[in-house]
Amino acid sequence: MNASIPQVTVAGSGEEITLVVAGNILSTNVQAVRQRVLDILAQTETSNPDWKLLHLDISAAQMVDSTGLNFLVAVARHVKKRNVELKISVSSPNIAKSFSFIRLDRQAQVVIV
Amino acid sequence: MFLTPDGRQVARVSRPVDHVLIIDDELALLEMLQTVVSTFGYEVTVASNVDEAEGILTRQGTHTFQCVLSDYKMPGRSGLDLLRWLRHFDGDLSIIVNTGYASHEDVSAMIREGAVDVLRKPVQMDLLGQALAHGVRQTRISRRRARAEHDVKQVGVVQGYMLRITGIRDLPWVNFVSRPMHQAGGDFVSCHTRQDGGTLLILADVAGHNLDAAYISAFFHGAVHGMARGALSSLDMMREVNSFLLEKWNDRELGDSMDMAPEASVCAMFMELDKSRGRLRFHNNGLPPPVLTRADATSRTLGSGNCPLGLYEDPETYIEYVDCTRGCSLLCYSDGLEDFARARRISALALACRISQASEAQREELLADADDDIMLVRLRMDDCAEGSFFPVLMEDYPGDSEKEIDAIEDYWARSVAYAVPSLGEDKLYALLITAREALLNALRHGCSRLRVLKARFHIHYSPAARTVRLMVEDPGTGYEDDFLTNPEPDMEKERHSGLVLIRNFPDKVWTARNNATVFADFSLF
Repeated sequence: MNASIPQVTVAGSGEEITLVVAGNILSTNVQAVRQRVLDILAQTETSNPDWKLLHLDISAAQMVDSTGLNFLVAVARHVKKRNVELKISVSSPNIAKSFSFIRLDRQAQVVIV
Repeated sequence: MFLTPDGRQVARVSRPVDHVLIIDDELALLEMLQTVVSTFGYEVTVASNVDEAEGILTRQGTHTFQCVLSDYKMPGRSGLDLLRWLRHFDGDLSIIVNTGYASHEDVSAMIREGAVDVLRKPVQMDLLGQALAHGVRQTRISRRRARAEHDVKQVGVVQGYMLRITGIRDLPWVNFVSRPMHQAGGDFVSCHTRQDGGTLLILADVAGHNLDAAYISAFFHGAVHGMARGALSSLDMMREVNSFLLEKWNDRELGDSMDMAPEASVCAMFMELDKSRGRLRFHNNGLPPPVLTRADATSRTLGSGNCPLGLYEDPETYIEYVDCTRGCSLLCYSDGLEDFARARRISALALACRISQASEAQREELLADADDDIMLVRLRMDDCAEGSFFPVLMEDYPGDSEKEIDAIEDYWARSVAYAVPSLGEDKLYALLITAREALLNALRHGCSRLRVLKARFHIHYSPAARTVRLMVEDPGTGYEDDFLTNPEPDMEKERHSGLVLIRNFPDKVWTARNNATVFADFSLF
């Protein structure tokens, strides 16, 4: 499994913002990923107050562990407070299964790509 | 007398004359080369094209020649064609290519195909003489090496026969794998029926893995056979071997050892087995500690390795008695298996699991590039052990290992995928995420992240039940919670997501010791 810190990039403007996390989200890298995502979200809220949808693309991830799941739930709470919808793209059916176990699929639209 | 390449006249010696085949389509040059090479003292045969040369080599046999000197560009087939043809039939016979036109690429191709030298036309006599001498020498070296390899193979055949007559392969409750590095090696196993009806098994590994180790191994094989026939106890046999090594074989001054046989040490494990009573008495000097696995997929290593025989007067041998009822199996192996596994970054147990179940042909493929002798013996103590578990991973992780979790998980993934290749991607994910969460819980809570406390981590595989079983245990007192085992837990309660994953990914989860030990099964059906 990939232990490195995944690259986090942002794309889009207007109503839909896409955040791409290019790797696993694990207990060993979640702090760095959280910081980068929070920075981008804070920037987006300032520069683009009309955004309606956050598309979190983690299709490069092969594994998301419990710490990673907790982080994603926190992101879901964060955007919900701002009336922003959350869409999460994954490529691993096992990660999608994890989302349903912790009921993240009720907080976000989960798409298997 | 004959002329050396540097112009000296030398008397012929009475050894067989080396035979050179020369090929060139320019007849005048061919005649000139024949004369010069004969003057160097070689017997010469000539051919004017590649087809003719192949005919000569086929009729007379490539072994009657010690070197081939061929032109490169000829009408029809080239010197490169001859090189390729010869590599196919006799890779040991040297070819020198003589060329006036070859490009850099042509020369590279000739070297790649195995030419020992490439000469430029017009050829200089001294360079030709040196090239021929080198080519003949290379042919001799290659043929000598091939003969040695053949001889080693024959020693291996003899060793294989010795293993066959020990009868170990005939015991239905023994799974035995022996794969010497060079067809022959220093590992050996000896099997004897005792007067009380029990079985004595001796596993040994002579230091080194060359022919000398194979020879010493054969000596001890015979010696312990005689001792076993004389009804010596296993402890006395061990003492005899140790004394002989110390007082005879290794009794020399260090300075004397230059011209003598190498110092010898032997790792040996003696097992006295009474299957009818389910008793095992064993002692081990130097081999990796064997692993005892019970039918419920709990394993432990037996004893410590102690030191090999032949090094000290007291090799500190400890006898251990083991209750082998309840479907036990015992796995023993030589250090060659550990080294092979380490190089592939998998556990030795995973390798043992895989090769125990493989066919002879599969084993040969799996262990093809082993660089040490590999021996493995798995004893099934009773019939119900047929469907028992193989250990795949048995690790202890210090409480402060959390930062290593990704590397640890990678090791699990490699080991389990190797041991159980039929495990699908989804089951592997389920196993890895469950194992990760369970171990992180054990390290953080049960071990309080303290280095001195350790979490036990086991993975077993039952081929008969087609089940992989995970066990994670910490030394803590556990916690009062039925979340893992309650069939209908309250999912809305504030929980750590790790427990949710542990509960949901496996096919079956249960706990012991107040949740300090977690078991999980993953079915391959």
